[in-house]
Amino acid sequence: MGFIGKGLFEGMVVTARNFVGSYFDKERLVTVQYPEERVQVPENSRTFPFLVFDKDSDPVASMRCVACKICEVECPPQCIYIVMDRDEKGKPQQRPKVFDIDISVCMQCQICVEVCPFDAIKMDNNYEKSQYGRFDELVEHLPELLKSNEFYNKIKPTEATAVDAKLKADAEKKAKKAAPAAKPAATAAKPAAPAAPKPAPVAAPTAKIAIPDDAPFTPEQRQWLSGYLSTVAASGVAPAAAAPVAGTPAAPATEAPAGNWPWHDPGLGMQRRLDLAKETPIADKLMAAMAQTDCHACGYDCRGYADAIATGAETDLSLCLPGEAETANMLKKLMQEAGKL
Amino acid sequence: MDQVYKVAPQLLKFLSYLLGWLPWIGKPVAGFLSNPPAWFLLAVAIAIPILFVVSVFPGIFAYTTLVERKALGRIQNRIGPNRVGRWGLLQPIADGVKLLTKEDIVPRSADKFVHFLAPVIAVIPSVLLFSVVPVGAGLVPVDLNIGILFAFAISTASVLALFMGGWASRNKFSLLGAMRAVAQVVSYEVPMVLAAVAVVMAAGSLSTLAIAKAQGGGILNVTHWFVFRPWGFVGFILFTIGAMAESARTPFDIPEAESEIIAGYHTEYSGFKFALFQLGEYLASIAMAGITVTMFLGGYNGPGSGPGILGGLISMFWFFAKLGGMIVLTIWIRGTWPRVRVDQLMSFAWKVLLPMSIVNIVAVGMWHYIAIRPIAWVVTTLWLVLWFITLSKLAASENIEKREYRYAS
Amino acid sequence: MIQPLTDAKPYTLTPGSNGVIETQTLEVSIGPQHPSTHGVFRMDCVLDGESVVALKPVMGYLHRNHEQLAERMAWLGSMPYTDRLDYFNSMTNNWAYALAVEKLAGIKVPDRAEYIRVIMAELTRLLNHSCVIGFMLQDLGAWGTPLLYAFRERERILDLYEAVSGSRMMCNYMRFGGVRVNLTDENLATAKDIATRFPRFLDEFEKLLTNNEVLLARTQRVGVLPKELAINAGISGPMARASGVDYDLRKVDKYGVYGRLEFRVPLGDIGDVYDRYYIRVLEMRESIKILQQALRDIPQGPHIAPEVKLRNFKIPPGDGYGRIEGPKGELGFYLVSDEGGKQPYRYHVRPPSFINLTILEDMCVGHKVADVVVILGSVDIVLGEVDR
Repeated sequence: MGFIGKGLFEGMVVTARNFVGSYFDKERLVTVQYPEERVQVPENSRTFPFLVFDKDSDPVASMRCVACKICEVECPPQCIYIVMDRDEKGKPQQRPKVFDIDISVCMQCQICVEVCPFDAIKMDNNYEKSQYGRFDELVEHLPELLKSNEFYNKIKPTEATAVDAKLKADAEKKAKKAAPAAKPAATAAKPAAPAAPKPAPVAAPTAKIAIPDDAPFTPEQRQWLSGYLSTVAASGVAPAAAAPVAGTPAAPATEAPAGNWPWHDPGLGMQRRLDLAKETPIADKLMAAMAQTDCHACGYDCRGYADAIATGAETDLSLCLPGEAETANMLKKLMQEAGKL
Repeated sequence: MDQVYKVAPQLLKFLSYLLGWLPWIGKPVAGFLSNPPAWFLLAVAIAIPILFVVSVFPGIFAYTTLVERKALGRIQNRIGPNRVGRWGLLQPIADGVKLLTKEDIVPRSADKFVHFLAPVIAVIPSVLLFSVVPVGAGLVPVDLNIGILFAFAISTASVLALFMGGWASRNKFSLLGAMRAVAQVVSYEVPMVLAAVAVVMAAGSLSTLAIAKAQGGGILNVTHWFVFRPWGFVGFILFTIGAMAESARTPFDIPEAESEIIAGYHTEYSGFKFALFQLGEYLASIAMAGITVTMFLGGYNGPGSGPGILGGLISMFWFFAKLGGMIVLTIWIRGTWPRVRVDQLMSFAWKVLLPMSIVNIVAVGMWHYIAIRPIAWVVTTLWLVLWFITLSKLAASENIEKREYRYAS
Repeated sequence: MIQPLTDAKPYTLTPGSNGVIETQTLEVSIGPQHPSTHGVFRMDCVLDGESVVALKPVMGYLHRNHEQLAERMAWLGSMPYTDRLDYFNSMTNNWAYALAVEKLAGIKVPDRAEYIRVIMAELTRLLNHSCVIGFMLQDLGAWGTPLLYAFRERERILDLYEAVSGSRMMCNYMRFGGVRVNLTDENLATAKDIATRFPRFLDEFEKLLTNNEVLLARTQRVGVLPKELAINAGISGPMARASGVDYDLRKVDKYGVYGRLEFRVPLGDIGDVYDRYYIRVLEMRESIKILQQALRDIPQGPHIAPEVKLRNFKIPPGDGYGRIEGPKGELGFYLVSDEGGKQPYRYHVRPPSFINLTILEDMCVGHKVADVVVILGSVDIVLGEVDR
């Protein structure tokens, strides 16, 4: 026990040591003088989400987002707003027309990134997003959100490499599956299915192919063909067959990856898909009513959800997010027709 | 002033040489200045010290704020202001401009006239304090023969302004702060004056200049400083504590305790009125530091100080160096210690400082009557240490206990 | 309209019949805008001079509908919201919520994840306790020096958090059945570095504070919380232990892997502000021990239970209460799952700082107004958690 005031003097020694130390010891003077100096943010660091696209030549067409709306639903503060793109005939285009993120609401939780099955949305680490306004200025739209895969690789090398490898493996698996799938499809001998594979039509680099209006097809045929060719071009899989004759449910399911479902093609319209599934059991009809993106927003793929509804395991008919109200209504109608509701 | 009065004719003559070449007015002005009437000499002798005090000490105040912010920053491992000018040297000017251009807010239910008057009054006693602080050998604005008494009388007047400000704001926090300020200043006046009595007894004069002069001589003009006497050392500590409490510096910043009553009496002040309060408070603090230096730290005495132009300049250097040291000490303490509580502050003043300062007066008496210095040293030191231990044990027994901690099995 | 606590008495300065001057009490509303209420919290104080005669804590200025929000979204969706409860300790909040859900759903957490959780929780305890002491000293008027030393050390821990979870404060790190990202060797080395360096900082911190006479005089015998009252009021955490209640959930529940780690629980006897300060210092020293053991023993393996789905996570009907020893006390989540099980039917938080705040008046009455802010500082509240 020292004299009274000893503690006070010890304290003064400590502060004196810190005073001197702050001039010589980097450990003590930790200040970083932003904006002249900046800290290297760690790779995991996250701020706001952005959307990844693959090809610089056409960001909109090559973006990975398919507008499945999983992130919109899962986002805890509900800061994402998505409208699916449709062509003039109202056919879904498998990409968002509107994709807005309100960064004044976004709480940077990364849940959208974790739930995205397509690796389409990722976290940026740019923290300098101040604006002069509080309203429109803080809503990010599709053009600002789109960033290239190279950018993603640059800011998060480790994570992006893993994602790229996974995507590549998925694509290869898909291609491998598609090749054998052609055979059973052919042997299944669907009516009027030409067995001989024809060379692939020259696919334009863009995903959307429109059959010219002056081509010798009925509008219905034109629509079907456009959609079919578009998906073929987009998926990059050479079609084993092309059906020139429309109007019959004779579409070869050659590019259907996991089964023999001609309607499993998001490029088709709802009516067209249902037509294709006209003669099939209820489960297939239900499946045809879905958006065919296999986005897992419902917790299944399209096949699984249809089966679950058909067997009664799933009672909620509104789970198909990309199909929007159209699918939900159709599912209800189909179930009523089947007498199950 | 007397010194200035003596050199004023030379100064004016020098000025007349400078101005003599001017056309039209050059000749008559030079003639007037080289042979000035007595009233003009007196006016010049009065004006120069006033100009000095009014220009130098607010400048010291401005840069004290900068030094304080820098030093506190370094103590807390920060950098401190460095954006305005090199090393933040223009920061005080930027602060001044900011405070001048800020909106002046007066609460709707405030007593508007008193609210306006309080910050103005707060500055006056602080500036007046400098009139008795000798800044160099013989250089004191007014050599009052009751200088110390004058200083205490004036410094207590500042509390009036604090209370006016606190009361006129019509804010409960302001009122609490004002009441605290009054209680604190009044009770710390007593031990402070008693600590000064010891010095006055030793120097045999109430004049600040005489007290400073009494500490000259010895080896290098240093050994005769009062702080190097047992009673002077104790008196120095007592007086420093008192001065810090009087000017409401940490750990005694109770009237404006930020974490308790927001800003105390100047809660409702903004812009330049707030700046005036700050100015008054800092000036008082600097002036009290100046008086502490004069009474205990040898004033302007130091190696090389003495009469004459060179000795005078050196003595000024020593005075301001010591003043700077005192300011740094208060900043250092501010960066280290927490604040004491109101009742502890009071009990500390009345139960520790007051008895100790009376003991100190007795010690000066002993020092004076014991002619053999070594014996005087031993006796006074023992006397003071004994009392210090007794009083601190008494004070500690009330507030402080040693604790042991156990761990759950 | 806020009801005053006391009726205004007529103010007279004439001596009464017994010669006593009648005085008036002064009602001061400390907060919601006040430098030392740690946020938007209000204390309605009735003062007699400087002494407090009555005090009413007023809460709710930061109410954000946390519980109702959580009942409207999927189980995972409220994980980032728990970060924002006690925004100093998002890691422990995550853990408490994850623990409650895991209990309810019967999920087994892999060993490595448990160790990672312990490491994160103890780092959180270090940063919380050191900063709380800093805040308390700020209330005592120490002009931020201890606080900034604490922040200097906290910075290193937050850097680790950012490297691991991506965010410094809003970590959102735990997941049901484990943690979101595995710790790399680099992260573990950083954590080890923090654990070896922290004692040095604590020594310096203690030298600055523990024997400081002003601090001793200001804190000893101030805001005494007797043991009986602490038990009756449900006080938990360092506050209860400072009053001598031997109650540490890490010992009582042995959740996670705390059963395998060796540490002691420090106890105070008096329960004043000084005890609360010093118990926190001692707890930090124990935390460092836990950290060193956990960093030594951490096994390899998966960081999350593989069977747990991220989306469409459903819990069979039932209810469960998961609690952990947060830095501020017992942090618990009471969850009810009903038919469907996609989201909680009932979600209730047991916030330690809210419950520790309930006895504020008992601790404050009779003390000076300057003590009130210090007592509040020693309770260690975060308004995000108090008001939810």
